[in-house]
Amino acid sequence: MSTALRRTAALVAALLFSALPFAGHVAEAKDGAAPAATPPAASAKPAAYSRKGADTCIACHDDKVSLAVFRTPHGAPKDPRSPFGAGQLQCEACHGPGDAHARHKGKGRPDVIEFGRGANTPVSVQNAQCLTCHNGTANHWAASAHAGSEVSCADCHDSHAAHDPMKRASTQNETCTSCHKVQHTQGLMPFRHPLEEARMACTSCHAPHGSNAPAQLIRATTTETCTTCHAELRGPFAWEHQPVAEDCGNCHNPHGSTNPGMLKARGPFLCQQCHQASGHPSISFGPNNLPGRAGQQQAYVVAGNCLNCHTQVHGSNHPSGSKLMR
Amino acid sequence: MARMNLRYVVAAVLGLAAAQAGAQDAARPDTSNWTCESCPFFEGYDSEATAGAIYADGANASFGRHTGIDDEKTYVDAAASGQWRSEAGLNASYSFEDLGLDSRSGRAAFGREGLFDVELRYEGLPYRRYDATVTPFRGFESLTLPGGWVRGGTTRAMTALSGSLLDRDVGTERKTVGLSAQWTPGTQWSVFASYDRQEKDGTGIVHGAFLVSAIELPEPIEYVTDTFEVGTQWASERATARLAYSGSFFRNLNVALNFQNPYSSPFPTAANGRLALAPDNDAQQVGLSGNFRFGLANAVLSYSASVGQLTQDDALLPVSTASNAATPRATLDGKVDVAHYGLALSLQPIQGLSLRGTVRYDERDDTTAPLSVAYIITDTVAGGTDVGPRYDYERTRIDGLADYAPFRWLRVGVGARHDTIERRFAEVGETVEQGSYLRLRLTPFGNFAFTVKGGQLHRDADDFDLAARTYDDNPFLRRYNLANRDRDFLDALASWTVADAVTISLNAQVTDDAYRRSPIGLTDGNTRTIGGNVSWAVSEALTLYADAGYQRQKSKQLGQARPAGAFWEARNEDDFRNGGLGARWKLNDRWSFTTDLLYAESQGDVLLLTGGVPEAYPQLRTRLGSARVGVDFAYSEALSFGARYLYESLDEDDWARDFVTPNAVLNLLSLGAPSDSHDVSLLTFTFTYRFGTVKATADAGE
Repeated sequence: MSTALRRTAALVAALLFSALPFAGHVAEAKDGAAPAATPPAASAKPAAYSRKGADTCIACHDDKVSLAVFRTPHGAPKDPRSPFGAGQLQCEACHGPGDAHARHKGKGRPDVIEFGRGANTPVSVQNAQCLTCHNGTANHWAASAHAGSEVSCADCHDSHAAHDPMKRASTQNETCTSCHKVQHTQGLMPFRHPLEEARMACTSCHAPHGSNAPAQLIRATTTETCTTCHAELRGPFAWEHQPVAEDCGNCHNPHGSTNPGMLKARGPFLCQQCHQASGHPSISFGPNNLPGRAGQQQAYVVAGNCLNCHTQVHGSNHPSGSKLMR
Repeated sequence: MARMNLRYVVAAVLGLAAAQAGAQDAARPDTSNWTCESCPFFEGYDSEATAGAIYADGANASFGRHTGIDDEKTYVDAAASGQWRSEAGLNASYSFEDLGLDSRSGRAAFGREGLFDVELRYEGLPYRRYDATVTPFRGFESLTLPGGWVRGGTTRAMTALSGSLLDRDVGTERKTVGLSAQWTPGTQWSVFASYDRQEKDGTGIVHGAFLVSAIELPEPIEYVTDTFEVGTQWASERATARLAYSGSFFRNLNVALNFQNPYSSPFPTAANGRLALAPDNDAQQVGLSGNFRFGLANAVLSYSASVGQLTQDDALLPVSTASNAATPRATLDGKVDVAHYGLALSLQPIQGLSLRGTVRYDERDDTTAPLSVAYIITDTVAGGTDVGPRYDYERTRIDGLADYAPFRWLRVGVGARHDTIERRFAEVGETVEQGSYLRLRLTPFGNFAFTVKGGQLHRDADDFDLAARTYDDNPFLRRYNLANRDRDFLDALASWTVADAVTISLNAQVTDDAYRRSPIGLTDGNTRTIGGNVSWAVSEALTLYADAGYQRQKSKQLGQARPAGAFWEARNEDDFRNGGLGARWKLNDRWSFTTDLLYAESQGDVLLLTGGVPEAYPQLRTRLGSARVGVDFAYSEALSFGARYLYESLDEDDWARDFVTPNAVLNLLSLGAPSDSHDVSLLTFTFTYRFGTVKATADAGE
């Protein structure tokens, strides 16, 4: 292990573990049932649940949006894991104890846990409620970029809607790009994956609940993620191309590009950023090599440019394919 | 001793977690009388079916690339969805979309709440690449030239070419059928399995070459990929574990593409060429992942570990179509072992402070015996002996972030990362990238939030191993993925919601890369992105929106013609801008209207300076514009009608494609693929009928 690596490891470990002694001062957001439900309140007395459960809530909240929950897995009475399953806490399973909220009228009514953008409930408390049941689908949530950016579950999901926007490619992509603006712009570029047509979703490649991979990819590396669909490029080949074996992102911009093949730059220039052997790879091919002009070396520039000959740029399995031409 | 201490720590932490879980149970109320008589639980069925027609005027491959609407004709537009649930919790649902198009998809599911789910699915994905391509070659996996073909030293000398050209569209159809099932024997355990079979058929583009005389060839594509996953998961509020096996088995029904040589020089005796197509391969992995949520400091430790292997043992082709030279061995017998391990810890030790750290280790260990071959150039000339290097690496990544909110309106974060890649057989043995960043998040008032993140990354590379260079590359060349690099980056995002009606957001991103020790190769790269959007809920019935974005990517690279030629420089600049406007208007319970306008334009400039003399390539350009209007009319609760009109125009200038007819280039027999262009009007009429035994309660929530 290098000195620099050891230093960084030590720094990260120190950052994390130096905080543990302060743990006794933590105001737990989730642990302990009653306090979790009323985070803004400073009451020492634990909040109480209602006496009749959802019947109490629906007496007021009988609008279509609220009642739509019964078209979702959250409103499934025969599923013991559902908030409306036998013995469960119904509305208060997510919204927390609501007795005080139900009893008080007018000003000063205590809030229950609210979800979504603009809600009074802190994001960490909202998410802790969801993770009570959904811990299994979000193994890596806590250390994810989304958790670190205070994204709440309800920023993306609508737990009351019969059709959660994240379950459909078109609405999912809209939801993701409402924050990921650069990807929205790149997604409109001429060479891109078919997200605009909703034939792919962001979750085709990314795990928004977190993963132990870079950029929250669904597989451990970029290459493993890409080859889940592009399995023909997986190899191993008799002759490999070093950057391909390491990371598809070395040459491609997967969110979209102005260059064919979602390449980072046009050929032959992209190839010449890494290959300048004696002879044709090292020559500067100018526009005079385009059809109709004076130059004679057009195959180096047009159509597939370098790939016109070195067509097996992702790897060749031909015994005579060492130059990736076969 | 250390192991004993670790045991005590783990036992103490688990004990504390269990105690807290018990405390939570004790606080639960008695819910035995919570009958919820007013809950409108879903029972019965409801469905909707949509049928209609799409008329496409002017459609072609560039318009219907991923939808399949690529012809000037009328298409059927059909869709259906529905769900059913019994009082006992049995349920079924289905959803089918775009049934009249090649991009049709569908799923049907059946299950019992809390016990099992089974899903069958289908997805079609067309890829219409070109529909105006031509070739003199006949056949699929063995391409022959027509009788009377006249070989030429250049494409102009192929005098039978124009009379031999046949249309050959380029594109594929991908069809995926999948079946998955999940069984949940208890509230915490589940067992899952899934199987997908993906078939991809069609024609791609591949190139054959006889040294410097090249041919664009139609590539036969007949791929089948079977993917399996099976596993089990256990999840509680405090810990989870997921163990899964996944296997992906790729089969290519064509192992090689044989083609006749249309050229008479420089190798007149080379009658045929042969390309190896993608070989069959298998990828299998076993993975374990999960987390522990400790009661202490809101600590969550997540872990993942997976090991797997990639294998490939397709029979190797002969070294040449013409030579009797022995194949070095029957198969490559390729094996790559992969392993991935990760740990992540997050803590919230005091109010407002959160700490996160992750450690990841990835290994690609290519155990394939290198192939040593006395290879043949263009199936004719002995080319010497090459030994194929096997590339593998070990990568260790560590990153951490400390984030603190001293005030309600301010969060300050400091992060750092360290990324080491150790490679085998590459010119650079090790690269180490490390850096740090600062992040601020301000929420000073109302629904206004501003986040800015900026930092630096430095990548240091070992000295280049000149002996490991391939193909006699310039000794001063540094490949950009292996080179020293300094990166500065800045990200900013502001969003503001005013009076719950107007939402404004602005974003900017800057990335500057400097390859400070690359005398030849990529030396500089930078990206600038800005964008913004406004949406205004004028009333409950009317919403307006507008958005715009711009991205510029620039790079500079240096080269030297060798041996002993002039130095040169290439400057690449790609600009992209987009803008859109739209409105949604629900006039009343019966009528609603939508409209959208979109404009997107890209420009690409390449400036070449050879010996200081500038030469500019023609500008690369795409211009896309579209306008959509739609109206929906609800005749009754059950029946509604919809009409949509789309006009879309795309125009592209691409010097790599424009004017490259089959014989435009002397040493490239091309397919004559044109630049993308279309001018399309799309008119859609549909009616939707809803039926069932359940009164909808969910409309407003959908």
